[in-house]
Formats: sequence, C-alpha cells, structure tokens
Amino acid sequence: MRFLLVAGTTLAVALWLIGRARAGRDASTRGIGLAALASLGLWLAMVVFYAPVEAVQGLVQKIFFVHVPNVLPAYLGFVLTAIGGIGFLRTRRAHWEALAVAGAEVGLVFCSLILLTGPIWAKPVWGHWWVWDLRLTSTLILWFIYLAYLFLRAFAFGSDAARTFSSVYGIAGVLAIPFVYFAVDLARGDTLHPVDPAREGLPPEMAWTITVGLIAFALAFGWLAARRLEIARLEAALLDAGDA
Amino acid sequence: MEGGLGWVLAAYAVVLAVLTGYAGSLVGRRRRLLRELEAARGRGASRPG
Repeated sequence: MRFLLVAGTTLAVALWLIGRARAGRDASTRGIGLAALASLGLWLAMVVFYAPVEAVQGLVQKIFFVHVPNVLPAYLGFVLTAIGGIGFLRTRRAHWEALAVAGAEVGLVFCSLILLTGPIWAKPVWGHWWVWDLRLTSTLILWFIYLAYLFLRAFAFGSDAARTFSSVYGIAGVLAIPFVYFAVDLARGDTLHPVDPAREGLPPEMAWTITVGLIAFALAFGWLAARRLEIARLEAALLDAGDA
Repeated sequence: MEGGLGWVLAAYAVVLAVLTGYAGSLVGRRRRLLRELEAARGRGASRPG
C-alpha cells in the first residue's frame, strides 16, 4: 500500500512533467504547488507529533525523515535527464533538452540535500561528518556527474555536437543510480550506512511518516521542475526574439 | 543541545533554506526572463520592415 502510494505519485509526477515538456506550453502549476505545500505541512506535523522517538538514537533519528525523502527526487530528476536525452537524440526537438536540464538541475538540488543532511546525522551518530564508504562516495560521485552535466550544458550552449554529446552523457549518467542504490549491498558489511529502511521494516508510525515525506518531496520536485522547464522555454523564446 | 535537538533543527533548517532559496531563485529568474522577453519583443516590433 505505502509502496504503491509512493511509486504512483512518483510516476504521476514524471508523466506530468514529460507531458508538459512535450506540449510545449506552461499550464498553471498552482495545483501541484498547493498539493506539495499541504503534504509538506502534513509530513512536518507527523515528524513532530506522530513518529515516535527511536529507542537507540533518540531524537537525532528524526533526521532520517528529512534525509531519505531527498533520494527519490534526486533519482527522478536524473532519470528525466536520461529520458530528455533519448527524446532529443531521436527528435532533435528542444523541449526534450529543456526536460533534461530541468531534471538535472532540480535533481542536483535534492542530491545536494542528501549530501548536506547525511553528515548532520552522521556526526552525532557515527562520530564523523563523513566516511569514505561505498554509499557516501558513490553519492558524491553521482553529484559530480550531474554538476559536470550542467557545466557542459552551460558552456556548450548552441553547438549541435555538444548538444548530442551532453544528451549521451545524461543517458550514461543514469547508469550510476543502481550502483549508488545497491552500494550498501555491494559493500558486503564494510559500511556504516544502513540499508534501505523499506527493506528492513519500520514501525508503522515511522513507515507512514516517511511515506508522506517521500510523496511530499516528489510533489515539491514536480513543482520545482515545472518552474525550471518554464524558464528553459523562456530562455529559448528570448533567443528567438533576439534573432528575429 | 539536550538529546540532539540542535542536530535535528540544523538538518531541517538546511533543507528548508535550500528548497525555499532555490524556489525563490526560480521565481526571480522567471520574472526577469519575462521582462527581458517583453523588452526584446518591443524592440522587434519597433524595428522597421
């Protein structure tokens, strides 16, 4: 049930963004914006009043509810970059590039939040801000992959060969996600990072709180990516107006 | 801080600051582009021919 809610919301957000990109017009984002705000408010209330304080870590474990929900939007953004890349290589239409850039930029924001909230949780629990284990290192590499992608896009603006190359790069970059996700399994115990909590099993109150968090962050991603798509379209229109 | 509340508040504050800051920057970029687009179209319309 919880998995279906999260997967359904994520898929709906992805399809909605792809639809917006393909339609080439900017309908209102008010609906998804309000849904994101309402679910973020509910999530925060559940973190404070509903989710119990964990017995071993105590209050610090509440960081879990703001660390984990960033993962899904980051991965979703990078998958949309790959979809946009494939669409551009097939059609050479600019709206696919806009989707790719929006996915990478907003995905990178959420990936940055993974890397910022992780150490804030790690320091009081592990005693270190950072350890060079497989999950943390691979997440940092993923962050650099998409930072490089955005630099590539920014500096290679307008060149057809560069647009092709950055599309291929965006498609290849997504292959890093399964490696990052399964890094804890690949480390075979040589890591401090816990496995995916959904696979471990959580008390229902914690499971529902993290479910609402995942949905809220997916919706927030949708709103931000829709706004970024609109900006990409305005930039293209500005270029056209300058050429005319 | 007692029981790790400081760490918790720091983590939530970072996420809130980054997301609201980024959302604000998108709104600002959109407004600026709309203004520039309007100005560019105005220049195009006043050009002879």
